[in-house]
Amino acid sequence: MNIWELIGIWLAAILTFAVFSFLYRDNPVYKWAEHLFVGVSAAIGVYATLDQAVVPAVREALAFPGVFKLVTWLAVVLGALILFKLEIFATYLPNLTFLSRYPIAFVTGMGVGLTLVNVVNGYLFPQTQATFLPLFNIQGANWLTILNNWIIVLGVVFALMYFFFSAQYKGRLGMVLRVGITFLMVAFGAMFGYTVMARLSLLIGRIYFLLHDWLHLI
Amino acid sequence: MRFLYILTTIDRRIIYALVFLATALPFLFKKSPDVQITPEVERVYRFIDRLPAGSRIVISADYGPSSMPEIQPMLYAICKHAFTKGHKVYLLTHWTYQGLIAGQDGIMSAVRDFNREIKEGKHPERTDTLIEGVDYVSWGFRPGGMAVMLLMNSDIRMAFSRDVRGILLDSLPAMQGFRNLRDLGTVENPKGILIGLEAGFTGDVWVVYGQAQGRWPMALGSTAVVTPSYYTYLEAGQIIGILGGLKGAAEYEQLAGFKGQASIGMLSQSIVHILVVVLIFLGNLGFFLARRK
Repeated sequence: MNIWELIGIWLAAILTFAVFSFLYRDNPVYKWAEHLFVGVSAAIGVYATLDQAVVPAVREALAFPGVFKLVTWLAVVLGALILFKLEIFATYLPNLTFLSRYPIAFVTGMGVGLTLVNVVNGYLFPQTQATFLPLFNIQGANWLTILNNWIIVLGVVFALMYFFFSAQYKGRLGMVLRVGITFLMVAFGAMFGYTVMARLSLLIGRIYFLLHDWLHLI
Repeated sequence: MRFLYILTTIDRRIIYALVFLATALPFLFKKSPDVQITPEVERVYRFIDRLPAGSRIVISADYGPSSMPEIQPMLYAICKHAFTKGHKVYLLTHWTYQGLIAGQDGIMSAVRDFNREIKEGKHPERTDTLIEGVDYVSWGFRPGGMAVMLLMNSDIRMAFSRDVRGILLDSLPAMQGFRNLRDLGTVENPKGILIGLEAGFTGDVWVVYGQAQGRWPMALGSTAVVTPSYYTYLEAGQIIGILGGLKGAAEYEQLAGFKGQASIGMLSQSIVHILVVVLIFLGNLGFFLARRK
């Protein structure tokens, strides 16, 4: 291990404790770690975006032949127009800030167009199709498969009906909606359970770092 | 009555300390218990295992350092498994600098360890060490999300003309014959797989905009927070399997035949889960009994 790796590990360990200190109460050490994180993240973000996105885009615009070159340059110029949204242009060249709307309009239009087609094809149809399940007389299927199919079909129907807002939740409809909300609660419970597991996994990762990389105890 | 009062007013710092101890102490036992393998993880492992040598494993590292404890072991285990089977690994990210840092760190750790094992003679089928551009390629980051995915279905070079080092993809041996993601084949006739390692909802975008259009084999590995939402794609047959959270990573490690960071964390995870359940039970018990009084 070289000296820079050692410094990095010690710095990471100190910062870990600085962040954990917030669990006791808010304090200047925690604030320092928080500010450091925001500053370093912003700096790396700017560098990585320039290095991995802007520079390659301009380089490709120069390298592409013929019509591709024109299209790519058009994209670069359109992208650059977003700079007119910067405070400095808004202050000194307010008449030109409207130019920043063109790239936003382009991205919005493209996003809506792509979403409309692809979400129907890639989400709505396959997900709807997945609920068309046989509920009776399934050859070779055990009772568990049949039960699963019933749960999926009824779960989808009742959960959708919960979002039917055009009638009062009374009588039979009210009963159906209570079943719907039960399905939703079970789903939320599963999600919450997974969330607890995820947060504890992050703590496990940090403690593993402290015991393994820093203290070499494991 | 006093006991009930204590149950409902435990200082949160005591709970933090208990959780910290329940997480840290099991590490000192240095035990990594075997975990129950779930079908959704086993399907991913078997799929990669059965691919012919030289197949393409494309990994989209869409997570950052804050999710590394959960997902990094997945990336490491999948890369090691892929290298053992002689597959080529391709890495990209939609998460600017975070994905680059995490993804590069993960793949380089796997490469470093695998090369060391080759030198130690643990992989007799290989004599030469892994070479960047030949056995693995890091495409890097491109902004655009869904547009990049759609573009990669028709031509990868339109999205990434160079690798992360700035070398033209056309000049890399690993990219020969790999024009677009459709070259990964289909589930019935696979030539590779795309695995999205996700800490957010980029996995949804991959399925809807990438897989649904290209119909190539796909799997997801995700933080436990987003895993439940990905099960809908598994049920619909849009993906072949899911690695969910640290437990999913531990399962994959076990299948791949080694005990890594995820497996070591499983004992802590089990004990701290028991502690959380006990604390929830005691808190609710105190609340209900105090209310009855």
